[in-house]
Amino acid sequence: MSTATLLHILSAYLFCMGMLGLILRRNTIVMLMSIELMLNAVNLSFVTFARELAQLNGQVQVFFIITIAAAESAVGLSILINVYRSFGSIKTDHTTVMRS
Amino acid sequence: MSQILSWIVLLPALTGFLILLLPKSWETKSRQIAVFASLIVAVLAIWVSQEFDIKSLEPYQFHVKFDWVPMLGIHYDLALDGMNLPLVVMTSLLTPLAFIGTWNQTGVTGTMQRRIAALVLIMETGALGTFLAQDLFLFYIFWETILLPCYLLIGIYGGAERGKATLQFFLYTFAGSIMMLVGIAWLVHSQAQITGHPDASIQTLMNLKLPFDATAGLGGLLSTQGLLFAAFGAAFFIKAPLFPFHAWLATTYRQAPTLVSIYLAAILSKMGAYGILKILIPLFPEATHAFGPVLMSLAAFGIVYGALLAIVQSDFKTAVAYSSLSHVSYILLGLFSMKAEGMGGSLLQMVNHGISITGLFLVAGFLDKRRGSLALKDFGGWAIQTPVLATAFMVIVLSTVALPGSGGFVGEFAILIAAFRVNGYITAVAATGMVLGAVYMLNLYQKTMFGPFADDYVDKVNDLDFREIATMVVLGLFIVGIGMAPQTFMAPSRAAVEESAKRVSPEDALPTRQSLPGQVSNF
Amino acid sequence: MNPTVASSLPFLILIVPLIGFFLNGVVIPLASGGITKTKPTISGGIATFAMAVSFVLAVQAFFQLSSNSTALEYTGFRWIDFGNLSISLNLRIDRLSSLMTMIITGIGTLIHFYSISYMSHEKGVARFFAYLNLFCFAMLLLVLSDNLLFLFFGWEGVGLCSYLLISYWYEEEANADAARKAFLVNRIGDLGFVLGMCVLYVQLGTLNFAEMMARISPTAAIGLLSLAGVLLFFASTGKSAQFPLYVWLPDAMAGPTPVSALIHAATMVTAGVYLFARMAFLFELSPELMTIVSYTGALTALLGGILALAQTDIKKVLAYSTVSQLGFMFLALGVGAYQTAVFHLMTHAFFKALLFLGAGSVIHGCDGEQDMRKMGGLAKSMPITFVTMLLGSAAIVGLPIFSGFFSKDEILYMALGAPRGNWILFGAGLVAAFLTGVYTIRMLTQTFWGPSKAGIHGHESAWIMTLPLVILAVLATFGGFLGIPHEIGTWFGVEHSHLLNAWLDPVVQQVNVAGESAPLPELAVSGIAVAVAIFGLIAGRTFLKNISFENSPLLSRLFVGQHFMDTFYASWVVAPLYWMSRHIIQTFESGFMGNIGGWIGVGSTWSGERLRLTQSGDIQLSMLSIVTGLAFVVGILIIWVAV
Repeated sequence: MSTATLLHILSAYLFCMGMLGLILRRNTIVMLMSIELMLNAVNLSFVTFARELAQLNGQVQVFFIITIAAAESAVGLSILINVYRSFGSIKTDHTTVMRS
Repeated sequence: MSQILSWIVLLPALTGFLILLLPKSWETKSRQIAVFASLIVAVLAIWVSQEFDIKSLEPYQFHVKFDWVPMLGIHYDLALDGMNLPLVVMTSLLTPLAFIGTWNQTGVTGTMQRRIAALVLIMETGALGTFLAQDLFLFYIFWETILLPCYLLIGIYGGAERGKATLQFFLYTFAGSIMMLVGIAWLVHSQAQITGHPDASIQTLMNLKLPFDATAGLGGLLSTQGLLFAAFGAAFFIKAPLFPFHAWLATTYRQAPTLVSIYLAAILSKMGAYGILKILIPLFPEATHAFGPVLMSLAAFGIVYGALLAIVQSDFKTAVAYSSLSHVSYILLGLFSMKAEGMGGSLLQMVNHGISITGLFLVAGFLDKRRGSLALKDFGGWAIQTPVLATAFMVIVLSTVALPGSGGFVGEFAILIAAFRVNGYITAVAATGMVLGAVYMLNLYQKTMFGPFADDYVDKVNDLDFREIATMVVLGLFIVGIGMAPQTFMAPSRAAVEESAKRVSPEDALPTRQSLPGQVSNF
Repeated sequence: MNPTVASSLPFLILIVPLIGFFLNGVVIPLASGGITKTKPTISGGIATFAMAVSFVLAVQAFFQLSSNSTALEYTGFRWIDFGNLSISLNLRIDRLSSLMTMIITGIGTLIHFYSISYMSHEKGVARFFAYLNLFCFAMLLLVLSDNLLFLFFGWEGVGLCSYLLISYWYEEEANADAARKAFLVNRIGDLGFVLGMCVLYVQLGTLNFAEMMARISPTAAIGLLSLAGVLLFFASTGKSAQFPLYVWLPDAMAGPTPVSALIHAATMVTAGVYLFARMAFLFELSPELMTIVSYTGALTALLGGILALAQTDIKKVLAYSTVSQLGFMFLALGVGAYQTAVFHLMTHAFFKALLFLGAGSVIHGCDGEQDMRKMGGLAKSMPITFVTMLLGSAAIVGLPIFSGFFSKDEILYMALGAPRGNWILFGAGLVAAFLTGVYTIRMLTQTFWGPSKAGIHGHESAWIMTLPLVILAVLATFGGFLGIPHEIGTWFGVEHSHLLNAWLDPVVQQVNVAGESAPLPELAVSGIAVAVAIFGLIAGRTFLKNISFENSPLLSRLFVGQHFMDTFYASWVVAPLYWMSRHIIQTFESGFMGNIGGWIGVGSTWSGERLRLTQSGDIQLSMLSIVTGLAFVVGILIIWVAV
């Protein structure tokens, strides 16, 4: 097995872990972290492909993703603070009602 | 001046949006503005109809065409072609008349004036665009333009049961439209596959020989052309409507405000009939031939059915609504006969029906305004109090019952002749509509105008005012004019309709002086 | 003789009453500030003048025809030209039209004149005269048209005017009902007319009389053309009040009496006879149809006579008498004696218009009373009316030298002597003639003779009303001399004594009766007919004097008031129609059709309610479904690629 294949398997593993975390964990902070994990799995995949195909496109894409991920966590965290203010909790079990 | 048709089509909607933007203090002027704009459109339309060259071999005149979405073969494509000329003139004339005839409705606030004026003008654009569009996709867009204003007008200003009315109206017509959209997509796609580049022009699509296989199940309905026929037919049959697609009609007509009832019955139903004449028959001739007898039977049945239901109504407007079903069925009967005189008669009948149904709904509006009710039991003996209204109503009644000399007769006669050439029995059934039509119209007339005047509600009912008289006089002149000299009105359509009929039924000649009679009827 | 000559006379004859209509209908009401302020003298004067002008023109046309041409033609315009449908509006006066035109305009003028006085107490009389002028226009169009379609224009036009005039006093619900009944029954007949036109047009490609005649060849599709004949006959039974569609005519008496005289006696109801005379070439194709026509005529003549006996209203007596006389005409048509039918049409127009106007004078003199039982002894107070009515009665009964004598005896002779004639038709005609005598003398007895009844003395009408009576009385008395039978003519050494036949020969068919083959000679028939009529008069004056149908339950149920045909139509046509309509409304339309839209709505709501449950707001659940969906799609893709 080449390095690339191993990296692909790692990327898929990380992605699945993130997905499982997103589905199973009820704590919104952990869910955000899981999303980060999935994004990074994709980043790894991009980098691997870029290397494999000797193209820069994948690496450029990674920069985009990192930027968006940062923005996303900023927005997500600020929402969470507001959620915590109105619900007193950040567990998803407690925030199922969309309108109060 | 080369863009004259664009002006005719777009001016009403532009005025409509302008009216919506008017400052609050100008609100009460919105109706004047609307009438002014629609009159300009009417003048333009009449000018165009006078300039229309009957003898020209060019099928499209005043043609405006440019690419819109080249990738999908969609054009902005407006033209007069003879078939749409009478309908364009009718629409542009009836719109100001409808405004003027319903001028003094009680309880009309400024906001209501503004909204009604704007929405009706947008509907006018939709109707004129539908008639003038020579591109299938453009046709569809204008076709749908009408739906929303109409929905809003009924939903906001309709009668007590407007909720049910809007639900039925919207569901039915929208279901039809969606099927037509699918049909258009499929049709243009097939066209693109055959010729290599998509083109949604109706004329191009007419030359597309789609396969029709009578053995393909359900009498050929499941073949390509059959399915497309059904998709387009759904939209047109519902809009017209053809029995049994009429369930939305009575409630909607009844609940809509007078102005919208006029628009629905006089113009929207003609869009359905025009669609059959302009698109359904030329594009799917084999399918129409195959289903012709069924459709003719349905139309004949609709004539009788609508008339029967109109007879026993106790409400003026509902009776008029069912009478409209009966009369529109005549139009459809003529179209499905696929003979030149039948299609021409139907085209003329579309105009006639537009005029007479406008008259009937206007009379309904007059009665409602003066009595505050439309239940027939609340009326009687009005002829003494309102001789002018009685006279005007009589003229409309005569046209509706197709008395010779009124417009109504010409179309029905041509339609019956054409239908008779296809099937004598269906024609005999359809012709009973003449008798039944007289039954309900004379009932309506007698119950409102004749008999003793019950003065327990008011001492005196006002006769028509100047605006109302003017409206009715114009309608009356057209009724008599068409009845006495129909050729004047039919001549522009002749070439186009005969050409279309020749394409769909090539063997089409009656015995002439040279050839002595043979056995030509299928009676 | 020259052939057809182009002339504007037909157009002028036609258009003058229309101008009168326009003046009375639009200009006069506007000028006098409202229809209710119009004056009878002005409106009536205009209307009468229009008719008089038309009459003068008609006479001019008559002289042109008699001197140097066979027909006057006015080329109008191409009415429609579309596809295979091509019809022009052209007018044409030939000898038949000329005769009809003179009857219409002549009697029309008299009746318009009479109406000036008769309607003098009415408000808004311009409407009446406008309708009357419009009627004359339509009737003239009917007889002047050179094709079937414009004949139909007139045919329906007169029906419309009849409707408008019957409902003239529309404040009475009964009058409006009668008008509607007249229009609808006529419409049922007109249905046949329209379908008949369809058959003819599809078969022959034209509706022009001359062209149709030329294109009907012996080898043509007789079956379908016979069908057209049947349909047109059906139309005629409506317009000309034949069994089974005669029921509207008695009710039509609700209109003003001059209307009854002009429309429901002299002109409109004879349109069917005119149609037959005009289209004889078509009807003669089917002998079976003509047999039916003759028997229908005989039946109608009998039924009208019986029903006339049952009436107490003076106008209804005359109405049923008209039905009966029209039956005579159709009897003549059926056996092929078209000229004879036209002859009777003409004499009937004279004497029945006279009788109606006389009855109108009586009603006017009795201040609107129409019930004969309340009248009596009016001979003294209304001498002119009485004498003229007496002459009219003599004419209708058929006493020698009066006009009815010649025309009715000719019909009876034809009923027996013509190839399609037989003893049954002849016998029916004789019985009807007998009944004519009985009901006529009954009417005269009850109104003019005997003691005066309480409260009703009567007064003679003004000269405006009596002058037309006198003129019509002269016509009713001497009009028959236009058709003196050949046998009588030869006594006086006159070769062509039957002027009318000689006049009509070029345009109207007439069956030939060879003198030897006839079972009875014409004079014998006349003798029998006169004997029967006089017997009817004597019977009516003596032992049938007190005949009253009301005393017998069965007879009164059958013939009095809403008689058996009315009951039949009410319970077997009208009631089922309404029953059916109501049931369609209740079951199919509001139950099934009305709910389709609702069902779509309910269906959407129902499925929405169910689908809503999946939207719990639980993010983990949503994520799970996304992942499941993704896995599903990817799985399918993998299988797709693998396979």
